[in-house]
Amino acid sequence: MSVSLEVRQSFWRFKWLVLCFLIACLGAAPVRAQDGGLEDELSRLLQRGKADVANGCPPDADALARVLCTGKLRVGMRVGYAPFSYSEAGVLKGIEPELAQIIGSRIGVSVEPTVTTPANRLPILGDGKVDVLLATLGHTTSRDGQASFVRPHYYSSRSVVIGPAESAVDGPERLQGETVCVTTGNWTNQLLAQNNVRLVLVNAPADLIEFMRMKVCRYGMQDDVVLSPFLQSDEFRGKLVEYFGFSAVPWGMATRISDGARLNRVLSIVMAILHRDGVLAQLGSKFSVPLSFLDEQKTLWSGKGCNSVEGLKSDKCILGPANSTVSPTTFRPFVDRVKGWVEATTGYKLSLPMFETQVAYEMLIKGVYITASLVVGCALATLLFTVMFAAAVSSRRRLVRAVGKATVALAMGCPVLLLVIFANLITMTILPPDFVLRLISSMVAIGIYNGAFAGAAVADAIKTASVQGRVSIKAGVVAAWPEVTAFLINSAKGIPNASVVGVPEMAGALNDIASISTDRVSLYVLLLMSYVALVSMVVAIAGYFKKKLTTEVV
Amino acid sequence: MSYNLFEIFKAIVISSHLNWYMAVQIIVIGYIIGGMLAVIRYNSKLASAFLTPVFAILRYAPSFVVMFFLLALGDVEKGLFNTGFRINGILAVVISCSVYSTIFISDLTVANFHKRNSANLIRQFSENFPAVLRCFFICFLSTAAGAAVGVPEALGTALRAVNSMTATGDRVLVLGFVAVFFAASMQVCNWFISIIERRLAGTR
Repeated sequence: MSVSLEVRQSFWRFKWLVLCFLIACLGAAPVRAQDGGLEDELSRLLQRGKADVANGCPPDADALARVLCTGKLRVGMRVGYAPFSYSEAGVLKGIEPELAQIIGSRIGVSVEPTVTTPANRLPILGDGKVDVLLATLGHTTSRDGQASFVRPHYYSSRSVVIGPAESAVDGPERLQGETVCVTTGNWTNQLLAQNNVRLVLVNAPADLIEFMRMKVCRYGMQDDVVLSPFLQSDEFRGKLVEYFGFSAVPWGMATRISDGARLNRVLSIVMAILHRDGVLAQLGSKFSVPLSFLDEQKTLWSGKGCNSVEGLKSDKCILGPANSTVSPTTFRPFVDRVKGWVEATTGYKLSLPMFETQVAYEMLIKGVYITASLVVGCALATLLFTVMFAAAVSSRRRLVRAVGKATVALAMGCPVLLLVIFANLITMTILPPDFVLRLISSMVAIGIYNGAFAGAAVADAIKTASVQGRVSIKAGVVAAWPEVTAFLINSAKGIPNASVVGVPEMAGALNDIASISTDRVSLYVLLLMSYVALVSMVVAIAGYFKKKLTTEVV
Repeated sequence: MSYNLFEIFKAIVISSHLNWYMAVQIIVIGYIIGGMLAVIRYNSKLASAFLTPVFAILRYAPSFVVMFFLLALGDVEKGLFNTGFRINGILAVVISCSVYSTIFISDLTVANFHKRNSANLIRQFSENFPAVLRCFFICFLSTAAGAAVGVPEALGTALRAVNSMTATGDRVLVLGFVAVFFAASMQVCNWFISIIERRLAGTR
């Protein structure tokens, strides 16, 4: 009995083993079919593309036909974004150049790299100068209309804010008035700008790290992949830390919308295969970038659900773009018409980012209001300090006179920028951080600087006139009115200094808009014109009062 | 972070050489271009009619904004007019302040030409010297704006030091030192100007 029981038990054990084997075979069979699905689809697309160009390259060939015909894949890439793409002795290195080579070999063509910048990468693709962009391009909803993104994405990162370990910053609102270095064209910059953070714009991440090293900025914001090695370096480990980050943005290759559909399909399949086979994860590991996204994608694409041609269409397998949609201004169609007319007439591509989106437009309007209040505030402060300094310097009391003279000498010898920073530091130490207080402290600083010069001139006028008898401060101001008006005008010219302490007047506002835009020149031309107009207006008003005062005196 | 205040003060004084260096460049550019423009304005009514409003407009442009405008010029990676040349912080400060010095020297020289009824540039050089020296010092103060664009001059060095400090007292001390340093420089300059003016008055 015992023997027969053992036999029966081993039979059942054997039976389970057989069953498991059968299930494994049945389960594995469709997976193998799906493996073949991606590769088969790729070779089918490539064969069809080659057949299209078998009799020469047609002039109206689409991107895939052109690539197969010429045997070259023209790839737009960046430099200065280590470890993704950087130039070493004139040779492009990093994850993206290596990925481009891998893709080229899978398609059977050579790779021809073209260096692009964040500002020109999408126009270069649009003009057909490259077939595909592989240039740290974040896939956002606003870019979906400009290029066709290859999915699955090859990487994903998020913008993080870093700074000294001893500070505790848990959100953008805690950075009000602080200096943060950012790279231009990063759409997350607007989240800082909206909190009255002073943005220092740099062209490339390498410059940002250099600025942090030189302590030009106390804080910095960039992609975590760029900042991560920097934070882990011997120089900054434990000294600089990551405070908080914004939502992740997937990075994708991009092809032209007009003729890149088939090439996009080919690249999508290649990307899925590279994720599935762990090639991208290996590449990430080689260049020591955070691997969480690449590992997730590897698991996803090697699993049953995604590892197929159908997976390329499934929302479970491919990520959507990050939502960066900003509402356009109500007059955007008019702005577009103006831009179109300028381009058609002159050939110049005009950029007016401040009138295109509601966020940028609101920043500009806020800047205009703040500038207007600064003009009035600085003029009043200048007049007030003119009278105060003149009274102190011409006082009969020796002590008051000595203190007045010393203060005037100190204020006249200080750069106005230093006075603005100093006043802001004192105010923020005594009072809680507040935007209005920053505004007022800037007005006071600019007023002290210009009031010192004007006050000295008034005191001189009083001294000269007092030979004939006692002269009032008012008479002194009237006598020295040309000098006083000169410093009232100077106070208007000094307003942009307030942007250094995070006051978003026009220079600060346009700087913030420039941080989320790819074109800076048109913004600064507008800024220059606005300030010239503003100062001209102050000159005209001062001229009017001068005339009125002269008439009264006569 | 630990820091030595004495070392910071020393670094500020040493880095002020950049302010002097930029101010010298500004005044040399002002002398050359301003002098040439003055001769043109004095000899040609047409040129004078054209340059007067241009100067008025340029005079109204804040140096700070001109500086940012210059830095924004040119492609990020290909440089100005695709030549690879980029305007750096120092050059931006020098050019933006040179606009002021050029106009000042040109106006001053033209006024003196009319007063003397002759366009003798060499003579103007000595006659304008005290006023130009005053302009030079104003330019020296203006070069501190370079701190806003990362130029490591005296104020820029102080701001970097302040960025790494936590104690407000130390921050105030460092900025106060810079204020006193600039103000003392101005007093020395004023004293120097008064000596020159007295000497010039004696020789006339």
